[in-house]
Amino acid sequence: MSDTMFGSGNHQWVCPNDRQLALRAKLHTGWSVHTFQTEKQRKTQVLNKRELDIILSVIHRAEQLDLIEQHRIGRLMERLENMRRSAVGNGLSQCLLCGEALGLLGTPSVLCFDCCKKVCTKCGIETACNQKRAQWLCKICSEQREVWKRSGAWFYKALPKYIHPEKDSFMDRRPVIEREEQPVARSVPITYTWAHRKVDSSESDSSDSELSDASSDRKTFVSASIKRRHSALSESSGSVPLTPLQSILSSPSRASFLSESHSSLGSERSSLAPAPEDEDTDQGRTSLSAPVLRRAGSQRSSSSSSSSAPATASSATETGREKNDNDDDLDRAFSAASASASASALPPPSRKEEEPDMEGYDSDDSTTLGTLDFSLLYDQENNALHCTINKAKGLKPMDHNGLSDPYVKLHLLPGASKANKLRTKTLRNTLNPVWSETLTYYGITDEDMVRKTLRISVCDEDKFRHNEFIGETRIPLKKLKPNQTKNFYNCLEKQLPIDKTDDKSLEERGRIMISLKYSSQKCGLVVGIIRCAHLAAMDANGFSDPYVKTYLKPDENKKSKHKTAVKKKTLNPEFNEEFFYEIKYTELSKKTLEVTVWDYDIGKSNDFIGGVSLGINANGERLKHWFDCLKNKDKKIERWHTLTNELPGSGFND
Amino acid sequence: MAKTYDYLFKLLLIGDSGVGKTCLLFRFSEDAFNTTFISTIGIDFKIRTIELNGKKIKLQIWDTAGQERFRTITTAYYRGAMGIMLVYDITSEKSFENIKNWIRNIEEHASSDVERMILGNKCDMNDKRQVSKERGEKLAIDYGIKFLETSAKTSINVEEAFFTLARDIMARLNRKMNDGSNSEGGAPIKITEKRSKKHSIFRCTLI
Repeated sequence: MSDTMFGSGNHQWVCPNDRQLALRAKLHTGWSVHTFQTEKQRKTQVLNKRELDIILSVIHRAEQLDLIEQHRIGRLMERLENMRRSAVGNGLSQCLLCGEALGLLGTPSVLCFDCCKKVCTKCGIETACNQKRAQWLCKICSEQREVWKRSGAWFYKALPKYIHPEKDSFMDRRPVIEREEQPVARSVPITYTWAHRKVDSSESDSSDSELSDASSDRKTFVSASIKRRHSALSESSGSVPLTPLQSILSSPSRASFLSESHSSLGSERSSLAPAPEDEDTDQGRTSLSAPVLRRAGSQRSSSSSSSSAPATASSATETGREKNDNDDDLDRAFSAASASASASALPPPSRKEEEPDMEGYDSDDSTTLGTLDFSLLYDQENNALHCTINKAKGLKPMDHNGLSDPYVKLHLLPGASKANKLRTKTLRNTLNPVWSETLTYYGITDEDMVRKTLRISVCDEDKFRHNEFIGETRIPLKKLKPNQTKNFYNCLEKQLPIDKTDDKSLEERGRIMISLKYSSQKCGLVVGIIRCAHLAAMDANGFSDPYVKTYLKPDENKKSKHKTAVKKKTLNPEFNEEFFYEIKYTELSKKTLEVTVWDYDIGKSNDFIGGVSLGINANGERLKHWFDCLKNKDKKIERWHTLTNELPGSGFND
Repeated sequence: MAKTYDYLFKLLLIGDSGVGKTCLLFRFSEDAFNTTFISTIGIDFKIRTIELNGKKIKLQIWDTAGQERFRTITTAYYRGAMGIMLVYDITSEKSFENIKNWIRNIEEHASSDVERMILGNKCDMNDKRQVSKERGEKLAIDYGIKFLETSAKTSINVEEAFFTLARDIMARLNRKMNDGSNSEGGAPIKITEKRSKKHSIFRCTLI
């Protein structure tokens, strides 16, 4: 009560100096000026009702903000935990993350600076460090650092309080009715979230609804708890001669707030309304049972499916959230138990989805490749695509022992770059593997859902040879409805040529700003590469190391190639470089300028990010730019162009 | 709509009653000014998201009542603050004198890692000035804190002040996270490196 109360009454606040304090100690008057305060003086400290209301409303506002922040940190943590969970190697002879064999014969390795484990160069991230020498971090440690930075843990020296996304069921499904109809299967045993656009995705997924929409659903219980608190306050202030504020401060929860807790400014949220957490977990338990049930049964069950299930399932989530393996086993057992039910209940609509695949299987005269059981869920709100790979049956044996070491990898097409590859663990010596893993793509937009196709391929891992492809299946994402889990039980097919899906629409890979000027004085074309924006990330760290090449085609002497400098680790590079092509004006109109953007990789072949062709054979904006350049001699014309994963009009060039 | 951010920085404004803490915050968050004096009750906060080095930073800025009777509440907010603005009024000698007490208060209640900054507000009222800029600077140098004279009314240095504080927090963050694992020896060199680099970036973006 006496802490921090110095000075007296109406005077400006003055901190007692050491001499005063020493004096007080001698006189045994206590440390506080208020020790001998009169009741009247004390009255001036009391907050009136209106003031209290105002302060409470501010605290309430802060609580809501905190909740958003806690969810954000929860998502960051989930991502990190998932990465940890999906690490398969031992960090000595294998890459800690992907389990790839390292050493002389294997892939080159680097040592993570933080955890001192070995990882392959693909799973390591080179950080630009202070002493200009390269420092490698494994993806997990890199993510860990990022989480510490972003969560404020760097400051508070420990992670602030956060709400795990799995727990926070009320946040994901706002209206109660919706919860009944389409629960989002969020509770999953193993979630593999690769550092797919690591930084970008964490941005995109941290939604901060600024106390407006997100708060509305919470308002009810928060305000209820505030009210409760209110009444508690008035009661206590009535019985005990304490000011309301002091009663807040002396309440046990408040004490924890004032104590050394590292917690953030708004941690008074916990003190003033401890109720939400209780309610939160309560609610979480009840509503969690539904998704677990859903996944365990692995079918599109309505909430009324099996009556005995909720008890088991919810108890599983209650106890086994940390012990994932338990949970997993239980789930597996449960799914096995309900297999017969699901077989009979497998709805006709999902049959329909399989039709094209069945055809593919029929045309395959060789032995069957196997079937794959998986489910997909597009979580629209969080821009995430959850791909749960349940199991496969009757896979084609690939190894000498008549078995396989299967794993599943996912790609989003078009654009099969290493940045969007996800994979499950490898299971040894089985033709009927049960993975029960969920791999998640973050940063999936509605547009992606219309345009992209998910390729799921099952491969056989071989230690000493190239991994062998067993079979694959493809799901156009437009088949999925947002926030509805869709189950698939598809036969695997032989590999389809990728361009089959590619040719429909060219994938956008970013944008580039190009300037063109025909200089009549120098008698040539000046091509300026100014900058690029939103480039596709090609490296596993979520960035690219872009550079730009230009050609003026047809190129008889092969001398028209120009290259910009490489810009490290950026998706929005600024080049500001100009290249000069000496050419007669009359010749120019027959030429095509080909501009390509590449991702520079050390030790590997560089990745093609995207390109654009300007010329007489181009169309739209590209043609217009070219024409404007030809028409306006000696005038520099700058334009943005969209980069695509194929050169538009490149067919005409050669 | 949902707004995204990369970092959440919590700032705190302290200083005597009537020095213009609320007005500074009002200027920064809403770009407006109100001449009528409404004493802050207890605490309040405002949000503004800024961008530094391509990172979106959400600033939650806590405004505190200068009045002594709210001291119990306001001091509770020191600990979570990553940056604290000490505000005095250049037309009030007393408010300037009290800065020392406020600093003492910070040392007592805030995290040792907190970034601080002193602001001499109301610098548009030069005719009523009681505290010279030199004295403000001197005080700031004594404590090793950055200093700016501001005016919420005429919007002088308000943006700069908050951006500077945010940038200092950012620099501390990067220093801590990138050097924390390294030997102490190399650290001081790097600080200056980083600062100078940061400045050049900032200038570029302005142009």
